[in-house]
Amino acid sequence: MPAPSFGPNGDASADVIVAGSGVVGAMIADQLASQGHSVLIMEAALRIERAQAVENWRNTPFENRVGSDFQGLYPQAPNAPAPLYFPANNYVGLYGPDGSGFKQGYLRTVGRTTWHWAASCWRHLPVDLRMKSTYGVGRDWPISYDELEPYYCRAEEELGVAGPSETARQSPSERSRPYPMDMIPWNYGDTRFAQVVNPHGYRSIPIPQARSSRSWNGRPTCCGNNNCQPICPIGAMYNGINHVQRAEAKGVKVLVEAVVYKIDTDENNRVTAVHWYSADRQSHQATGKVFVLACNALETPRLLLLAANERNPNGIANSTDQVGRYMMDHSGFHCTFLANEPLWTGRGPVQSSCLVGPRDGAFRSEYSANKIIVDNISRVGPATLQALKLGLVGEALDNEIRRRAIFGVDLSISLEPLPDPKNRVTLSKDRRDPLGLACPDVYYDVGDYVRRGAAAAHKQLEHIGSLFGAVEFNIATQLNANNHIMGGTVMGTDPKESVVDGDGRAHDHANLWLPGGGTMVSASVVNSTLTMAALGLKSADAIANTLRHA
Amino acid sequence: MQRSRAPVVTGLSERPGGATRRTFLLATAAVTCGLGVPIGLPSANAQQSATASLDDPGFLRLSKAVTGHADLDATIASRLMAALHRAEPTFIDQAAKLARLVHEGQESEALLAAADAAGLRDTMLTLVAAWYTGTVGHGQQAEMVSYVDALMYRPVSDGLRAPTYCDGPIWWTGPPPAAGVSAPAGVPLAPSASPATAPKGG
Repeated sequence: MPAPSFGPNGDASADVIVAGSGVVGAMIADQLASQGHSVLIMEAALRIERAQAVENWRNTPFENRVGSDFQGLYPQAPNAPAPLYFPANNYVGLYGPDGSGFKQGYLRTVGRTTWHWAASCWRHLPVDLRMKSTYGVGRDWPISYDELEPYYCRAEEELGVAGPSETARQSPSERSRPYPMDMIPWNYGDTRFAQVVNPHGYRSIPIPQARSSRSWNGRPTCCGNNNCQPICPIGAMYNGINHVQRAEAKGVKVLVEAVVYKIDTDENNRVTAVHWYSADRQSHQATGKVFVLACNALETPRLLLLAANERNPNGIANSTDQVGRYMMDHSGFHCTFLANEPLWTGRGPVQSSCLVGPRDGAFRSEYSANKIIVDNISRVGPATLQALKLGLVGEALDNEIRRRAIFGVDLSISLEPLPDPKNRVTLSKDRRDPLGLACPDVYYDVGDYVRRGAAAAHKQLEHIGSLFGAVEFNIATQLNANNHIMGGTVMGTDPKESVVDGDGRAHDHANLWLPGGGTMVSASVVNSTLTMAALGLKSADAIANTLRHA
Repeated sequence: MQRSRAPVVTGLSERPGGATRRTFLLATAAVTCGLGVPIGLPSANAQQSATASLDDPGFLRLSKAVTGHADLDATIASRLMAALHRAEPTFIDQAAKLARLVHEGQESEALLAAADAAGLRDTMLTLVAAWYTGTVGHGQQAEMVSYVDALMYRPVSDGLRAPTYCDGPIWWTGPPPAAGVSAPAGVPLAPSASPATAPKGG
């Protein structure tokens, strides 16, 4: 098996050096190791065990659990903190009108943030890649849906996606292959919700999800532990650690607590080495033929800027000042109410149905589309919080908890920001991480397109609420982040307006790839992971091609 | 609703040989000193009168009275008591006063009314919240005591497991239990026609 080599001083060498061990980095490593290349993965933080994460969550105080503190259960590396919010560690500085809506909860743990995702595996619609030419807003992608489609199929296979077999329940239905597994069956609440809203065009359909509806590649069938976020206790849901382990079985080496901070380039601006700090704060270097930075759409631009060198004084891959720009997330909000009939939220995995009727239409030339997830996270916690606030005790308290838990509805709405160059990751001038490296700053303004889209969504939600005779109907005024970080190293054909090409290769550096969410030019309204994985596989093919001809 | 509630047995311990609050606190201090809690008792604690003390069995009986649940776990009770004391050193004294308001066969609601009249409403609700959430205190000072045994999961245990637990592969496809409780009260959203922004069935 090809494997990285290490010198006596700890320096490393491999065909392919990958920074970041999430779904994109680990999958690329696995692909290239399968083809006989030696691959080294460097991860900034710790490796954790599933059972420990489950135990940590069960030991997490009530308010943190009800407040969705999905970061706190994951142990943090002393040198490489993740953004934390209970309390806030201000690792990411947030600025601009909607900075407070950009509190991303990503992990730097081996396997990364899919440890606590909900496993939604949507595809972009074909039109999502042609926003400028179709609706006159945003940007077109340099690649077409038809080019991406085979990679979507492969990504669905890699992640083990369960989805609906009926065309009418797919979004989009433009598919060349069926889903690898049939859909995760709906519970009563999903079925009932769809019955009520679908006659009005909202089109509630099954969420395609990387969760096993049958035993799949060593993953057990989902047991509905209702704990996908923040940790699937049984491993029925895909986590990036799955690809890490697959890659390791093929000889890939993963270094933990290895913080990449510096990049060397030669006279042709090819990358020759990356430097990292080990846990004991010693600097080492890794040399290779190909370098892949897959640290997520916020950390990759940060690293490119941190690694500015003599030949690239504004940062790696940043000769046209595009690195860090066009940051996006599905900035969204929640709508909660008590329905006039019991829906029994919380039976099964944390989400299985979604309203995609508002996902596309001519209105997109004017305002943002949306999607409305019917959250299936147990309402017992919020119900208890609310019932206790009412000062109830005894049977009245028990009944109120039951009422609020089983009649309670929580909808999660995602909006589509347009790519805006002023929404940008930069380096903090005054905040440093424990290694003395500049922390990231983010300026974020969702813009009027999203604000108009939010107003349209409010009307839709009020209508939906009225269909359920909603009481205590509430729409959150504060935007929330969804950890679907996109942009920062966007793809394009013109280097003046982009950082990478359609394969995720940096315009400035022939052997540097920046794959994943950072390359995405439009956000759509759907979770970004499957598209990131598909783009990662496309990058992996391109990398393999260059290695064959090297 | 049909879910049964076990009868509640209440009353303060009158066992002369029962553990005193002082010995309980000493034991607690010894156990927790490794976690950074100073060894030794605050002087105020040592000066508590015997009538103000509440021992473990007494705390458990009080807990049954305030929650209306007879089948509470003694170990969890002891740990909640210790956590409540750590969070607020005067809490146990207040709880002891509350315990003196408890009568045999009393409903929790009646006890709350008596507690309210005695200025002990917050004490009772704090104790109830601790049992239902399994957590004592707030924010960074919160102390986690029980997860799956937190009482909040009981009212829906016929249809939902506590998250992280489950009932086997694809268990959730059957019909849920009958509601057993009335629909939420309140003024519902007025019926409305589909908004102009409603999707057209896309």
